[in-house]
Amino acid sequence: MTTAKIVQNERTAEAQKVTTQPDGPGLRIGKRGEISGIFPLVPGGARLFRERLPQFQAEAAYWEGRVGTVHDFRMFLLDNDTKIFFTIAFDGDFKPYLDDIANKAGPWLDSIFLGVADGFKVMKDSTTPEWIGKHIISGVFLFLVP
Amino acid sequence: MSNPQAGVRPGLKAGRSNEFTLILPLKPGGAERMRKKMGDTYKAQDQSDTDRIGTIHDMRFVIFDNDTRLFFASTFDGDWDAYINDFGTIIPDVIDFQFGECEGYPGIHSPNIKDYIVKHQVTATHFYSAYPNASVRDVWKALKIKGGIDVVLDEATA
Repeated sequence: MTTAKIVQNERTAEAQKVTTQPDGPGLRIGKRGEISGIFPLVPGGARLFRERLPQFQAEAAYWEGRVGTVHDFRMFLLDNDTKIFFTIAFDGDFKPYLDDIANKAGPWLDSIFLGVADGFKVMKDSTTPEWIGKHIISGVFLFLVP
Repeated sequence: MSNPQAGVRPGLKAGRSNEFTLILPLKPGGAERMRKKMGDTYKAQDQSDTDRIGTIHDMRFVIFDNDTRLFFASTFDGDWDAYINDFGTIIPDVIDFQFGECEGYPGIHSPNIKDYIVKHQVTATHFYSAYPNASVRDVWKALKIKGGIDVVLDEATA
């Protein structure tokens, strides 16, 4: 990050302080953080992903309601259906977030990624946090409504 | 501005919330220049300027693919065209500054800007919003009310 001097004015008075997460990837403003990432797909994974998507979307509010810390979450297929790109805004630190989604929405995430994302086991597998961490890309800029 | 898909714009909608996602090619060396632009110095002023639009819940930039591509994601209230028009009328310099490292970016005031955006916009296959029917202004109002109640409660228990 640059260290050039900030010119203080009436607009900088409203500035949001952006930091990195204290315990993992992603940017952070106040209580909220962001992560984005790319999962590689197994051959035929995109077709399976699309087949499962309606049920996954229909159950989103239920499972995210259990987690209770996610502001928004989106996914799309990238590069001729060879990858999934996802991005999420959530409350709190990175590691507790991973624990939360594994414990409270594990079956939902397994239902979309298992057999689709190359290398994904199940959310509760002990190697999954490291696997997810390997595929995350931190943002370079973040804005959140205060 | 041209309107390549009048009435049919990319992106998913949940309640009043819309997802807006772009994948853009970066100019050679653009990733590094962008990281410098978007350091602490730039963020401070830019975020308060963005706040003036009043319909953006969040937005983020992610550089990926060995610094060759840019991912931009935002969640906004209302209409796609109004959202783009707000960028052009309220924060044109910010937008040109932010997207100036993208290949082919014509500038927010270009008559081709909406064609450029539509060409690079990716409609999500899954979109979840925690409060799809609460606008940014609803959230601000709720926070003000909560702040007032907190003050009353704090005074009552002091």
